[in-house]
Amino acid sequence: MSVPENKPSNSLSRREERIRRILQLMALSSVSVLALIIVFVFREGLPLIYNKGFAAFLGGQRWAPTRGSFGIFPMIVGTIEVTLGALLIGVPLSLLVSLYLSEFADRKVRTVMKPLIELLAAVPSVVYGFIGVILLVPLVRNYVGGTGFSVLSASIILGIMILPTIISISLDALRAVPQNYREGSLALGATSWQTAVRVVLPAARSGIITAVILGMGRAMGETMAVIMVAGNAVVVPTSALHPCRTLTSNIAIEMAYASGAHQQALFATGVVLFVMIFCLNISATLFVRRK
Amino acid sequence: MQPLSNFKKIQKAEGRNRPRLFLIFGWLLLLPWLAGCGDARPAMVIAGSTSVQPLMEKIVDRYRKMHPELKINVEGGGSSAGIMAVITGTARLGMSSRQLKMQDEKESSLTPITIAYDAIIMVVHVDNPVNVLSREQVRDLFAGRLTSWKQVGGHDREVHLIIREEGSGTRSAFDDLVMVENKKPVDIHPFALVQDSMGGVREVVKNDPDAIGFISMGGINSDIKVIRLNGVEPSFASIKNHQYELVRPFLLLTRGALDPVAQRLVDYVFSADGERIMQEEGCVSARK
Repeated sequence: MSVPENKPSNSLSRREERIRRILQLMALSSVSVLALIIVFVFREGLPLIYNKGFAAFLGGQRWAPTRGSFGIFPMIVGTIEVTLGALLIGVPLSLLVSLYLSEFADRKVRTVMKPLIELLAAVPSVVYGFIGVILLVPLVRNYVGGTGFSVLSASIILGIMILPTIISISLDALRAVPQNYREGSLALGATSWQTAVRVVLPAARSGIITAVILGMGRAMGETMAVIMVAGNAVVVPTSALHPCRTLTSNIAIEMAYASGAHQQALFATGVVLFVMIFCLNISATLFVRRK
Repeated sequence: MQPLSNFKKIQKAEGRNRPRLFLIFGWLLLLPWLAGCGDARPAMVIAGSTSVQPLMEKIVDRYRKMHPELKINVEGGGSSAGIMAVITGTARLGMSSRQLKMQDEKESSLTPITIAYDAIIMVVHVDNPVNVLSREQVRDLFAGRLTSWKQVGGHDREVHLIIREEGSGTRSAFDDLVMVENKKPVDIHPFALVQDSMGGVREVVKNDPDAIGFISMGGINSDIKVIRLNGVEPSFASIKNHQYELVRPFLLLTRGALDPVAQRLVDYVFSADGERIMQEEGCVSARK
């Protein structure tokens, strides 16, 4: 029996080895796709940034690519404003929801609510955009002012879109806080609210910051919904009711007919966006490490 | 022993599959490389205006379905580049969305064939009382010099401008035909809302009582109100006889007489099929 048993185990281990190799190859190929994207985007985009000048491209106010003006400053400001607006709306809401689910809701409520909230992430972004155009934009136009296509509308839509990301990750962080923290706090006479806010929340801080950063990345990268409600005018928005254009929108809106320098300028927009998102992801990774 | 031998069988079957898997991946890797090396037949090149390009691409696509043996490349580059390409012979046919400069000796040596007219239609909300605007009023509205509908005979409400994205054919037609003062280009007001499709412009104008936008002839429907420019209602007739002013021609350019292959393509452009494609693309065929 020992001989026939040995053989298969031997070939099995060789097989295992081969499987390992194949999986390794797959893993490498996914990383190499990233490398290819970086090389391609930078090769197409960098020459234009170099030709027009770093400052003129990043700081220029006028965007008329078919007439030789390539300033993306309004888009950078637009991206930052819309992202911060989304955080302003999304973060407090998410934190309160995850505090409730983690500290105050009983288990039944939690097991029903959490998947439902995560379902928000499954709604396609074009649906959010559509609801924004049909419902939110006229509301803003009629009751707040302007055209309705605005930083405000985009922030509200994005604020809702980042809820599932932030709630789900910060809820996990809150649940990971050891039970004896809570018991100790309650034993010292703190109320449940004091325990939740002064003990559990600070203990889960790094997880919550990671959640916020990931939500921020989601807001910054979102394209479709923003195009539909932000108005896409190339201006530095100085009011929440002004229209704005984000970096992602700029690429998506103009790519259809762009050629030559115009196309390069869109790739250059991609370079800037890439660098911004890259910095964000690195800081998220750093926070995860610290935890 | 039974389960073990079964396991071996499965192993063997999987083992046979593996080379096939590798083959598939190999092919996937090769595909982009293969795409680069087509056959060596010389292609007929049509180059020029990026406004005419989408239209010609559609027409050539349809034409190639009937003549799969033909190799025709439609390239962009702009009207001027297209004119140059025909003069130097790099392209058999040029595409232009502007008239040839007759004072330029080289340009005037080419033969223009008007295949279609691209019209810009100004549209507003159905409840807007304004019916007629002059070309100058439209320009001043979009330049941000007129900011209230009251200044052009409407209600005392802020004007909301809706435009197409930079690079679109309709936008470049609008820039060429409207946003000009003393032959110099005038910038559109930066607060104008940008939509990346005709449907998008129509949707915004339909819902915003203070909006004004522009679309091409094919996009008119009852959701929006068409402005009579200088009092002229845009129609196929008024566009063809240039009574309606916001019209630019789509030209094909040739140097000397057309060879039979190019002639047949041009004939197809003027066929009923060609006319239908033009309608789909929102322009008016120059077919008699």
